Amino acid sequence: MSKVRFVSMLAVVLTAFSSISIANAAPSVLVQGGPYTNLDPNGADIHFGFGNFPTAHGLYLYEAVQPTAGARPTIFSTAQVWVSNDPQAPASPKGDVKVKVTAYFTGADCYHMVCGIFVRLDHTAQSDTSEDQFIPITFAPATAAPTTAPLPVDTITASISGKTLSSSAPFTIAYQTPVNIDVVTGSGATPTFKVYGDNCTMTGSMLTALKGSGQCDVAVTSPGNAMSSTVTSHFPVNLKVGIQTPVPTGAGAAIKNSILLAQMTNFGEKISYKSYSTKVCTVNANQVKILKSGTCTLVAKATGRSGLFSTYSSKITLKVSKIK
Amino acid sequence: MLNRILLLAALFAMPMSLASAATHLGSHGESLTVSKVTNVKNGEKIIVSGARFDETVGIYLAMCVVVPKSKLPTPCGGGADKSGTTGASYWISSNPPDYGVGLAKPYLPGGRFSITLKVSPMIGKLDCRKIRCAIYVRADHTRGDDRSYDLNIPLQFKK
Repeated sequence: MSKVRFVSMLAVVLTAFSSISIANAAPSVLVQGGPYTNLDPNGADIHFGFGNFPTAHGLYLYEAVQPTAGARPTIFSTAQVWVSNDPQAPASPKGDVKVKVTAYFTGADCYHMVCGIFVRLDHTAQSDTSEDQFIPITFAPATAAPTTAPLPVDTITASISGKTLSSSAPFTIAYQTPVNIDVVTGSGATPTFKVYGDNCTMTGSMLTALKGSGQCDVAVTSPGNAMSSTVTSHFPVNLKVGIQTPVPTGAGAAIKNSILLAQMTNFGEKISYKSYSTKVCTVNANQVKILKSGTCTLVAKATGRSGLFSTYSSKITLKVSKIK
Repeated sequence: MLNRILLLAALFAMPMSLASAATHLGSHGESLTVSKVTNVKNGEKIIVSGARFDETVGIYLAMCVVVPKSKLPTPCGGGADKSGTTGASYWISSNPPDYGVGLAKPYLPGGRFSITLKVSPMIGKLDCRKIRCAIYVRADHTRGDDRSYDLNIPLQFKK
């Protein structure tokens, strides 16, 4: 092997396993991986490792057509990899992270377009572009055209109460207020659901927030069918505090000259009552004792919990027309 | 009528089972209550309830031998009860791993739960009439080393 040829090969190897950051001027996370060149057009794994991995957020990595400077890709593969220290994440930054790439994906022909791996912060920092990076990749010359054209990717349309969800704009749900996610797939295939992040739980298509702040991510997957390929769409979710309401169980039960009101809220907090018309009514725990005709004014209160639900406070007015 | 009101007042004034209930508070603001903690009979069913637990953290609930604080409570009666059928221990989690769905019992809103636990004075060959045992909760195996969620209420069995 001549010296010139050896240096040439070394350059290729260094290119293949180097860190490249293009789109953003100064992302702090160091993304190292390879190979980036001469990839199998029908499917190749690119391996990644990370330095200065964010402590508060994770990353998404996915194949995409190079976006315009400063923008995020508009043509990208749905085979997205979530890398995070969150135990729910399918890939840890401490392990070997693989991203599968192909020369063709929805709307993309990587022999005629600049394709690469796009790196960005995950759903916990949806609009933060500080770590956006684009790493170009190239594929081995196509010796023969693929024997079959790739199937078009299935489509997913998700909504909550008729409001369509977006993969880029988080929707908001309240603590312990379950919502059903309605999904229509282009293929008609039945979707499956998975939620990432400890702050939420999912049963079937029913999503429930376990916190009143923070985020989670809902992944909806269509298996596709003979006419379309599988696809997974991610929908970021923001969480807000829940609203306390009295639980009416047993409330309103009438005892002679007395009324029982709700003892607890829907979140298990004890409701305290105070009478502001003690000549008409008095209150002990949740039992209101009527003393005479008139207007009985009570104030009901239950404490809130920071990060979960707000304080409950309500004025109750009872008109007492006749006392037996 | 006066009698009825007095009766009601007496009922409301009575703390949960004057017999021997106990409540302990945990370091995260959670509370654990056991309906009966003294003179507990072999096979007796006691009610263990919790409130204000962190719903994102799954817990195991079981009767265990009392261990020094910061030590993993073990051995415990009934083990982890992965089949969920022995009634000796419980797994409470609102977001268990896939294999735990349907097995773990989710928290009620507000981080609450109420479990009826059938207890025996024997944990294997260990006799809780001779050594100290307690109703324990601890973070489940997804946070197995996290001792900050350990909370216990000692039980005293009838001899």
